[in-house]
Amino acid sequence: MDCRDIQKMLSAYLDGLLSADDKETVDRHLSSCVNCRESFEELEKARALLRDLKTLEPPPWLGIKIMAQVREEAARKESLLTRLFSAFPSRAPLQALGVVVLAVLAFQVYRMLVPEMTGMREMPRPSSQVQKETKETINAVVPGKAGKEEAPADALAPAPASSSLNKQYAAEASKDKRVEDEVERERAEAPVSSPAAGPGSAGRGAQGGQSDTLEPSPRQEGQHTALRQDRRVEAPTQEARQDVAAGLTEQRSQAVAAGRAGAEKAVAAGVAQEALPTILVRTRDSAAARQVVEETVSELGGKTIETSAQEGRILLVVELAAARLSDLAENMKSLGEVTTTPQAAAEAEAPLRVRIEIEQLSVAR
Amino acid sequence: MTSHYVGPTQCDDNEYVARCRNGEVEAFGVLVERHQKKMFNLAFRMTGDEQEAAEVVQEAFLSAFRAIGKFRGDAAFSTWLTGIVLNQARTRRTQLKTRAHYEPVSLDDAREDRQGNPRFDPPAAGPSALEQVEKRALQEAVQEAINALDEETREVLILRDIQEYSYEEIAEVLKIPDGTVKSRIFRAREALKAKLKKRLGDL
Repeated sequence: MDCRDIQKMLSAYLDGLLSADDKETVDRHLSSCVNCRESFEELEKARALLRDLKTLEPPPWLGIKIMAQVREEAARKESLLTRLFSAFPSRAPLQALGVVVLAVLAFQVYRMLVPEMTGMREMPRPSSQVQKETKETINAVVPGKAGKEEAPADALAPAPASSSLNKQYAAEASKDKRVEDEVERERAEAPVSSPAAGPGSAGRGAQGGQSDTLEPSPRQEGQHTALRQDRRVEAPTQEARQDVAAGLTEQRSQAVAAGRAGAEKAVAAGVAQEALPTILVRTRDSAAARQVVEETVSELGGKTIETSAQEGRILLVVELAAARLSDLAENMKSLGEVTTTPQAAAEAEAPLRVRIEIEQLSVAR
Repeated sequence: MTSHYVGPTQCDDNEYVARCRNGEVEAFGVLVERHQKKMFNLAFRMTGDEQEAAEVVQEAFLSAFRAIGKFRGDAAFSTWLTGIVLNQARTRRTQLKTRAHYEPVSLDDAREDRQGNPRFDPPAAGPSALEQVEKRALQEAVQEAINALDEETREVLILRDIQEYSYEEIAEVLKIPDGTVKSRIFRAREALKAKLKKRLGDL
């Protein structure tokens, strides 16, 4: 054995991993070879330096902060689950309902998207439309429970805690599929809820890292990665779900696949959108206002990302340095009454996505 | 299971994991209490920055809580958690690189915190003052050498020679075969030796 071979074994030798024979070989070599002995001693000293590194105490607030976030997360999950599931004693109708609701939601979102894919033009108010149709579906499937399903958007409000609810959550939480359903529902519901309630759960989801508003979508994706992996394991259920959705839209079978992929993207985008800071302006001439806003944005060094229109309202998503945001809001005051939603702090020069809503005032109001 | 710290046994942890999965949120608090120190130190050695380490650990515990329903219990909870912490550190490192365009962050400035304030306290008066300064300077040099390693190398070195995980545990945490662990540790130690010699002269 030459020195090179011995040197390669020194790390394992240090960790006591060599066989008795090998160990003996190395021992013998080290006793006579100065170079290798030196190499070995250096290895030992390097390791000693690492071991001597001070062990730090974590900051005293760390555990407290973690648990605060954890409790918040638990409360959020619980309120959604109990709201939707507390009415049902047995599981089977739940699963069926879950599948149907998801299929319908996917379908609704897809329908919402089709006009968007063919270009910008007037769309029916998506949130109220989907909400209405969702309610109808739920009411149809569960007659008599109609009263309880009031405004799915209210599911975002925290439910009163109680031990029976806890148990409900417990029983549900242990089923992975339940968590999956609820996450999908949460994601699908986010665009359904009004902007005011938006920062509730979707916002909290996207605000996981607070100042990181640069990439809200990937963060949302990151949080759901663990769940998504589980989705692959749950393949049979997933396929069943997809089959139901496909069955509903048989005439447009090809478009459904594209629509669903687009729907998922739109839902994710919709969720991310709801977490954006928003400036609302009420003005008499929304078309002119839009032009002014776009010009102001580009003067401030930003750019318009997308535009869309719904009845009586123009929506813009722009990208602007966080520090310029107040300038933009100020400028918009000349157009009409301006309302801004509060936002998490961001680095001054970091580009921020902002949602701008231009509401057309009708003369007769 | 070897550990620097007087830590909980695997059995104890699993009990709290089960309770947490049953809906007992506060059971998670016990797990946080038990593991935060080790995870914080791991994150600190990986990132070279205390503030960053705190954020990594927070995100990691929150991730773990969200995924607790999926934890299978065939590995130890701490092993699973360690993997999450390392993932989090990696993710943030990538994000930091994106942000470096706006706000250059140097991981090698162990001497200063994020605001540029010098990190060490002035030495206390006394005969061992010089020793204290020397020791701190040495530790900073070592951390700088660690920071200079690439991520993969740094991970395996910290797990083995600072946190004293066994080869098997490291294979579990990093999800790599045993043979790979062995060769990575060998190369990591050689790399560290070289970096240390550069900073400290002969060892």
